[in-house]
Amino acid sequence: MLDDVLYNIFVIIFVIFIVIILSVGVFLLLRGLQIKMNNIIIASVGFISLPIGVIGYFVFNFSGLFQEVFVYISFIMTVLFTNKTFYKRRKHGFRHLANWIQLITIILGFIQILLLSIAMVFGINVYYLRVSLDFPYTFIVFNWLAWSAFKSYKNLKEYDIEPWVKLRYKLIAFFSFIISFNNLPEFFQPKGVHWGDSENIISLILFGVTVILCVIFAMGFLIAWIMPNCFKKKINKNYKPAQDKEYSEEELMKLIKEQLDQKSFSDSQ
Amino acid sequence: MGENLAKNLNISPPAARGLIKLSIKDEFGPFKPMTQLNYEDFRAIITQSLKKRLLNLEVVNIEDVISNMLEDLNQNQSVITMAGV
Repeated sequence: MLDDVLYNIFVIIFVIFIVIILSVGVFLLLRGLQIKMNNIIIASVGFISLPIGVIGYFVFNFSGLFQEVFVYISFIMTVLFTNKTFYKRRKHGFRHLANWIQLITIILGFIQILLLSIAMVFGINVYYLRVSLDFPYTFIVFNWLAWSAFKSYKNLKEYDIEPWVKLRYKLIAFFSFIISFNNLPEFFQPKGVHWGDSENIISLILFGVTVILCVIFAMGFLIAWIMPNCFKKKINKNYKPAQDKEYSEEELMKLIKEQLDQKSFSDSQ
Repeated sequence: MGENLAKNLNISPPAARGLIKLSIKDEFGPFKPMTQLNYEDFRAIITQSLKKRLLNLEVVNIEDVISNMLEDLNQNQSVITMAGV
C-alpha cells in the first residue's frame, strides 16, 4: 500500500520534472530565435530532446533505444552550449580542453547507445558496464557546465553587473553540479529488477532519489532561465548602477584627451 | 569593458564607458540597445570603431589595448548570453 503511494508520488514528481524541462526548453527556443542567439537555440534543443525521449519511452512505449538517442542529443547539445557560451575564440588551452570534452561526450554517448543495442539485440546483460560508463558521461557533461559557469562568475564577481545576472551564473553552476551525480543511484539498482519497481523497496527508493534530484535540478534551471521581472527587481534591490554624467561627443573626447595627456605628462616626469 | 578600457588607457571609468558608448553608436547607430549586441557585434566594436577612436586620440599602444580588450571579451563572453536572455 505504502509502496504504491510512494511510487505514485515519485511518478508525479517525475511528470513535474518533464513539464518544467519542456517549458524551459520552449522558452529558450522562442527567446533564442527572438534574440538570434545560436547557443541559446542549441540549449533549447537539449532541453526539449530529453522530454521527447522520456515521453516516447514511457507514454508511447517506444524502445529504450529511442530514449537513449534523445538523451544523447540532449547531452551533446548541453556540451555544445557550454563551449559556445564560455569558450568561443578562447586561447588554445581552453579551446583544446573544450574540444576534448566534446569528443569524449560524443564517444561515451555512442557507447551507451551501442551497449543498449547489444543488450536488446543479443539479450546480453551489460547493465553494470553501461551504468559505469554512464556516470562519467553525465558527470562530464554537467560538471563542465557547472565549472564553466562557476569560473566565469568568479571572474565577473567584482564587475559592475546587475546582481540577477550574477545569480544566474550561481544557479546554473550549483544545479548543474547537483545533476552531474544524478545517475549514482543506478549503481545500487538490484539485478533483474525493473527500474522504480514498486514491489522492490531498494529500486523504489533509488527511483525516488533520482526523480527528486531531477526535479531539484529542473526547478533551479527554471528559476535561472525564466526569472520573473519582479524577482529580478528584488535581487537588484540594493544595486545602484554607475550613473555617469552626460557629455556631448566633443566634451567627452576633450575630457579623454586631457586625461591621456595628463597620463603622458606624469609618465615623462 | 569600460573598466578594462579605463585600466588599459589609465583614464577614468566614466570616460572609458563614454568612449565605448560612442564606439557602439559609431558601429550600429543610436537606436540599438546594448542587450541586443552579440559577441560578433562587440568584436566589431572593439576592432573597428573603438580602434578608430583610439587612433584619433593618438593613443600610442593601440594594438596592445585592442588585444587586451579582445582577450577580456573572450574571457567574459558568457555575460552576453547570461544578461541577454
